[in-house]
Amino acid sequence: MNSHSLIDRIKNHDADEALREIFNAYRNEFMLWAVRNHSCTMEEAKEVFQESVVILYENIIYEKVTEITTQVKTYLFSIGKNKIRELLRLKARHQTAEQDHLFQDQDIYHNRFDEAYEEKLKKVETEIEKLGDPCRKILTLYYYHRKSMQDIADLMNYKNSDTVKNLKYKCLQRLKQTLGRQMRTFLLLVL
Amino acid sequence: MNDQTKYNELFDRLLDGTLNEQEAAKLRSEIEKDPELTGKFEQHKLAVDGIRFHGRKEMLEKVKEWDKALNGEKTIASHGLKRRQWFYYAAASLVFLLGVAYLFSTTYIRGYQQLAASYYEPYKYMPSVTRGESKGENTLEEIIDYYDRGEYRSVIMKLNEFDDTQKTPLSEFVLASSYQALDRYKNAAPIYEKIANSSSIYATPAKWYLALCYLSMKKPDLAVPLLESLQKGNNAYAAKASELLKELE
Repeated sequence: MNSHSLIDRIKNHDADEALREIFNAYRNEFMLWAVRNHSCTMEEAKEVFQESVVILYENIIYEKVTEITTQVKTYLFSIGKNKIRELLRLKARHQTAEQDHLFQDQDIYHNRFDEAYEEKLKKVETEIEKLGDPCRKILTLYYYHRKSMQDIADLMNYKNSDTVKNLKYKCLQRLKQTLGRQMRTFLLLVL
Repeated sequence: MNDQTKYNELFDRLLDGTLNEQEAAKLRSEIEKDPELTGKFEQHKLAVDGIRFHGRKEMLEKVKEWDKALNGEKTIASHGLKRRQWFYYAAASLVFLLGVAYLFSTTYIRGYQQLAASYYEPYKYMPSVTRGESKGENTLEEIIDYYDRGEYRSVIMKLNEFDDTQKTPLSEFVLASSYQALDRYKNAAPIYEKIANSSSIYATPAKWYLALCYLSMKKPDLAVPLLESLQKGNNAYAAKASELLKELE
């Protein structure tokens, strides 16, 4: 699959199939390459590859990349290479910390958000789970997968995009209200 | 549009970077000056980040499932290969013979109908419908369960009870797919035609299945333009369409 085709397929509602083809085509080659050239364990190489595929998807849907000038494989491997470097850096830091009996059981992959904010996000995530469907699905399709209101209507069998727009508004408000209540409870306990 | 809706949209656009410089600067200044708006923005950002965090986790889970599936297939294959190589040689010979027979039959014996049948497999990506308010008897969610179980007659019966207000691109696609699964191409084709000409996300699969319907109805002249358009586009059916076109040649 060429890079132009990958971007088009991901944007045109064929992301799962397109990504799975990429995944199946390069998974083993990537793992061998990572283990041989970057001193990763097989398990680490596997996790890095999985995460790289997700990053490839996100870079396309969030339009961080609109055109891949190299082969898809080269682009995917370059994402993987950066992830490996990040992993090795964090691992080194982790080992040093372990020697000092500090920071044990840290997730070596968490690098996107700082620890306190990530904790907050985990709480938001719990609330999203509690909202249940269709709210959970509408919000995820809209904000994470960046689907249009019309696409969501088609996917979730709603009559039209206006229905989805209204529901999305209500779901988001419900989520914010829950978060607001949590925040007030927290402040009451602290004060 | 109420204030909350307006700000939700503006916050989304600010976070996505789709506001122009002037609009973004104006909104940032409003947020900075008004403590209530600051709180609302922070809460909105946290909610959106949380949704994306959740979406990313789901996506990673999905990729892990692909890994398990791929790994499972490989483990079984390598294990079997070591223990029963003779079996694979025999199987390979059989596959070769079947392949020769298949080529012979598709090229010289089989008609359009059989050619279409060799490419046909039921559409297997029907989304899980999760409309909270529509749960109950004969909802599309329940009907898709019937479809997944291959109970196409029940699907058709139930979907034909839908009135116009209940019909959606998805329900129509499920109906056409069920007709096709039962070889009722004349019923399936007009529904697929309607979807294929719409902007629905089911337009591309509808084109592929419509082309197969036309072939089954011995109308290759109608199937070919659809296959050619699929072949040119970047979609999951491009490779299969190209292969089928070659066979039709």
